[in-house]
Amino acid sequence: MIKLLAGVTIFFLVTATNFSSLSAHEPLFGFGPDTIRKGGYAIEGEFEYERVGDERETEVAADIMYGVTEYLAVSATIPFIINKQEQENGKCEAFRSAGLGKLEARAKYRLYFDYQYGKRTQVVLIGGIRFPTVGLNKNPALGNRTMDFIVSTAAGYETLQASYFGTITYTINTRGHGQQEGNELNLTLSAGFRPEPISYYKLDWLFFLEFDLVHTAKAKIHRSKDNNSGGYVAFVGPIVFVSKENILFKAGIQAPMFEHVNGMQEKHDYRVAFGLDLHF
Amino acid sequence: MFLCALLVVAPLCFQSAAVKGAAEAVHSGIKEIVIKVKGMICPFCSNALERALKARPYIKQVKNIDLQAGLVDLLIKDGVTMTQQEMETDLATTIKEATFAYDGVEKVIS
Repeated sequence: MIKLLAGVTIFFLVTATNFSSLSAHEPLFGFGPDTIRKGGYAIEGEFEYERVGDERETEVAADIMYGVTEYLAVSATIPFIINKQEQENGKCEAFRSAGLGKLEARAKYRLYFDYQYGKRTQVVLIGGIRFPTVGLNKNPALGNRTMDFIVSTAAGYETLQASYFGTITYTINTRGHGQQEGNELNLTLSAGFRPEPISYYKLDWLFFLEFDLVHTAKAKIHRSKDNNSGGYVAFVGPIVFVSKENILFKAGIQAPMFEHVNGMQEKHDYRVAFGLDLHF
Repeated sequence: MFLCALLVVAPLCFQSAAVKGAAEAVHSGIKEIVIKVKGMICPFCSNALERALKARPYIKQVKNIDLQAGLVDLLIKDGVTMTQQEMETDLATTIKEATFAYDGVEKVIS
């Protein structure tokens, strides 16, 4: 009962005080520069599948975003890992686990904007927290039970014909139970275009090419570095957005363009994501 | 006595006439207004603007949104007691809060 109450409390704290990444046309695997109107809110459902060697992870997530002012949006992400599967080297047996991931709360503040006819330039600052909400005694583990902190800045130049985004995100992982995941640096660059002239009353199609570079520092176990962790991988892949009125569907697939991981680690194969946004 | 009554009633009559005049002035008589909005770059984000505008008590309908020209055509409810200046001030605030920029009036139909 106490656990249930604590869970409900955390959920409401997160949803009441958090922030979001869901907005309009944005990078699929990174943050974007769009906020939401004052008093408006958005709901998003997401699905993500990633395959890394013998490892597979399928995740669904719900995002909620609220516009506190025209400059500040707060949001919460509630991820649920449907299936995480790992296979030990030399063994046929695969281990599977499922459960709640790390709840995430974010705030997005619009630092700079310039609006012209059919053009929009924006820069935002994003801060977030990931909470240690993953289940205990899972094999494979669904994540570490530590608090993570996210700092990011995203810029965008959007027109009626094309859009360009750039994002830098740094994730600071804290120590817990003698272990510390390596901090992560993400660089996202994306460019998209509309194949036909835009109209407010027509279905809007937007095609993107998204590039993501992820650098992860070595993890630490009892203050010594784990040489079989960390490295960098660069993903690239197409993304499509389709929207009508206040409904937006997005989908994308990415494969590694180049990869360098330390020690004995599985290499990335591909990742797929799609989501449905509703703005109110 | 009559003079005293006149001194009391006369200003009230003038005041009443002045109030009546002012009341007539606040009836804008605007039936339709086309405004210029910056920052509209897609139907999905501009839908937030439509929702924000529809929520204003004096707007009957968002008749048309032209993304290419940056124009929003609004139908105004009958009997609205606002001056055009007051309406423009409120529209500018609403549009700003919807994360767009108001850039004035293109056309007014009375």
